[in-house]
Parts: sequence; structure tokens; C-alpha cells
Amino acid sequence: MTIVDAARALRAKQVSSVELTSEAMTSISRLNPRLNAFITVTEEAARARARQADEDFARGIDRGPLQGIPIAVKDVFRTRGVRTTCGSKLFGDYIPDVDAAVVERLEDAGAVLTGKTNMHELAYGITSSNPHFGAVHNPWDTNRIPGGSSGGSGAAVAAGIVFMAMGSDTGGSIRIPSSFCGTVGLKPTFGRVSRYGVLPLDFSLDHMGPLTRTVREAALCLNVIAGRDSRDDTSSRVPVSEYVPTGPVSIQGVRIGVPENFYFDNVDPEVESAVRGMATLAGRLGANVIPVRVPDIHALNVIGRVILLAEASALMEKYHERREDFGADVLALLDQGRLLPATDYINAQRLRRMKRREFSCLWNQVDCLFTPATPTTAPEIGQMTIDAGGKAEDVRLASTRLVRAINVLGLPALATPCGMSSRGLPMGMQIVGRPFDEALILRVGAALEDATGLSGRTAAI
Amino acid sequence: MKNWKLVAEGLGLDIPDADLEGSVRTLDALCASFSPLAKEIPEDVEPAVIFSVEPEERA
Repeated sequence: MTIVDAARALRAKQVSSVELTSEAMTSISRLNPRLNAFITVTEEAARARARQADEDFARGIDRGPLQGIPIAVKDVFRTRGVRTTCGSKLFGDYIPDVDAAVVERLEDAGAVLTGKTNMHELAYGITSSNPHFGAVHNPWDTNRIPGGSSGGSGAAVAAGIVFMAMGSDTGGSIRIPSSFCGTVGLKPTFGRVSRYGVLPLDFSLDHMGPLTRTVREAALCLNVIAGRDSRDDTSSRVPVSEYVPTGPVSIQGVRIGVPENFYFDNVDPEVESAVRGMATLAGRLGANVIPVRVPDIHALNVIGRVILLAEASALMEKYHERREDFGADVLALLDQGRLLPATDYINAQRLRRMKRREFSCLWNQVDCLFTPATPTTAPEIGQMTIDAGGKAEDVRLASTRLVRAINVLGLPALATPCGMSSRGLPMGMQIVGRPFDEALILRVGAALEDATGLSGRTAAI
Repeated sequence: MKNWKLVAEGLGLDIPDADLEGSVRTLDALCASFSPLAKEIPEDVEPAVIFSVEPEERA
């Protein structure tokens, strides 16, 4: 059942929000001991909100398609009166007195918050093997990581516990778990969704977006959370579009770029084949598939790493003396950021401006790009290197290699399933669009979803 | 390559040697990739940091 199905059933009185929420709570009780997807479960508040949603329906009050729908948010979003840990010992007892803008919007739309999802410590990594709250497990194979940093959100959605879970993405943290867990994940354009009330990792790279089982659900959630928020200085005034594709979706004439350089280097052959297969399918659906050369993505990744190291270390400045309160991997990154000179950070931001101009020329040739989201399927928990197309590579660097540059550019990107590997693990692709053209990438994703039926699957756990 | 131990000492950072050793290779590789890029920047390119001055909003 999707959000659209559930919304219809709620309005037809075929199901109540109390029933949907009870199902979610039962799933959490059954699955969380194996997945460790939630840090905090807000059962009492969720049941109360579900009762309120049902009462509102009975009174004819309709707040939109999320009314009465059980959801979760990554534990990086502040929730008033509910502990918000950011997956860190530093915030183990932090109870905010405000809601993040995204939480406000979801609750105003009637969504039922079931809890806060587990994540990589401080959102600074991609395994979600959290030293303080335990490792999150991938529902498709519990010996494997779900990806991260929004790993709990990916696992909760893939296991069918909730319809949607919010994530944050600084260097791939929505798209990597989507790829490893077989969910849809949307990283909107920088400025499209307010960052207000989110515990930040990086001022200029953090993006907020939903993880869902289908593209239309991601589109629907974006319509709820997108829009100007004066409390976030980077929040855009660009008007919000209608993102949910309606009726039969056509991609006739859409120009889809398939990179000739970088994106298919050192990629698992099964993943490459699956992504290229989706491009072929798009061509059969009427799109113009165009081979393109993309600007230097490796350089963008390097620029992104310098910016992230510097900004994250600056943000955590007051906690540096509490070395024992950090996991080893996060501590190493924070140390590295403190050692970089300020000139490197400034030059990285100058290079970012140059590369953005360079990349924008690409949109004269194509409307979107198809790439793999990750070079491999999910690695095992504790695995340090992966063999990505014949080359052993650090798990973190390999997993972020195809997604990090898009944060530097601030472009919208949709991660969507493109097949299952011979080992039965999900494979994910990335559709990258022009600034604020989420509607197009969602339309393309929906067309592929309709043609393949690959999205919407729930892991049998 | 930089001597990161001296950099840390110069900045007054209390990073234990064992922890620092784990980061040296990463930092060396990052700087080796970044330095040539930084040398390509034309003088008139400003950083993409976020700061703007707008008229004060009235309550």
C-alpha cells in the first residue's frame, strides 16, 4: 500500500489512522530488535495524533494526503518535547523546545510521527553503524549496512514499517541508503526545503528530503515540505511546483544524458548494466538518450570534501575537547577538518562557483542525467573496503563517489531502484536535474517506475 | 607533503599522535588532489559562501 492508496482508503473509511498507526507500532515491535532503525519511538503521541486525524476526517477536516499517515523522521530533525540525539552521545539527553520546519509542515499536514530514526553519528558517515545507538541493519540482508547517514530511515521504509521517513543529505546521505535499501530518495535543490531546526553537519551542503517506496510518494511529500521559510537564510523564493505526476506519464522528447566519463568507471558490472538498461527503457518510452561528457566530477568531490571537513569541524568546535564522546571515524574527520588551512576552505568555495558555471552548460544539451547512485550494492557491516568494478576502495569514499558532487552543485537528484542483483540486493540509480526542476526528475522516475514496477517493494523480513 | 604533527602543534590542537597518524594518509591524498585545483582559480572568482545584505524587515 502506498501513501496514495492509504489516503484513499482513509477517506473511504476502509481503514482508520488508528489502525494504520497500530500496524506501524506492531511492525516496530517486531522488526526494530533486528533492524535497529529507530532511536526513539513516540508511541503514545502517535496514537493520540492518529485519533485526532480520524476525528478530523469525521468532522470533514482534510489537511491533505498525509493526514493520518504514519511516518518517521531522522533523529537530526528537532522535535519539540522529544529527544533529538543526532546519533551522538553529545546530544543524548537533548530535548528541543522547537520543531524543525519540516516537522512543523508534516504535522500541519496531519502526518503521524511514529519516531526518530537511527543514523550515522552526527550524520557524518555512510554506514549507520552507530557507536552509541548500535548499527542499523539492512532489511534485505541484516548482515549488511543500510547505507547512511539516513540509514534508519532507509531501513524503516524498506521494511514497510512507515510509508515515508525524512532524511538529510550532505554528501549522499539520502541517496546512498535509498540505493542500498531499494527505496526512492529525493534530495531536492539546495534552498527548496527549509533546514530550520535541523542539527547541522554542514552549512552549505545539507539538504533535507524524503525516503519512500515509490516516486509519487516522494513527490507528494515534497509538495508538503517545500517552500520559503524566512528562518533559513538559504531558503529559496522560487515558487513551489506541483510535483506529483498525474495521469499517464509521458517522457516523450525528454533529453536524458548518459555520462561517457566518470560515472561508469569502477562500477559493479551488474549495477552498470541495470542503469544502462533504464536508459534504454527511457529511450523506448520516447526520451532522447544522449551520451554526454560531464565536467570533472572527481574535482567536485575533492572540493566537496574540503568544504565538508572545514564546515563540520567549525560547527563542532565547542565539542572538540570531548574526544571520548565521538566514534573513531567521526573523530578522525573532525581532526582532519581542524588541520586544513582556512585558505583551502575559501578556495574550495571559489572552485565551487567556477564548477557550478561549468556544469550549468550541460543543461543546454540535456534535461537530466542518468547515473548509478552507488557503484555497488550494500556492503557488509564492518566491511572497510569494497571491490567496485575491479578496484578495492574505501567503503565511505566509494559509496559517496557518485553522489557527493551533486551536493556541491546543489542540484536536485532522485535515487530510485533500477533492479535487484544476482545476490538479491537492491541496486539504485540517480536522476540529476536542473536547479528547481524536481518536477522533471520525478516525472522521469515515475515513468520508469510505471514501466518496470521496480519501486514499491518491501523487504521480506 | 605537510608535517601534520607540526601543523597540529602550531595550531595548538591537542590531537594524540596515534589519532593523527590515522589521518595523515587521507590528508596527504586530499591536499595532493586539491592543491592543483586551487592554483587554477582566476583572481576574480569569489567564494560561493552565503552572505547577503537586505533591507531590514519591519515587524
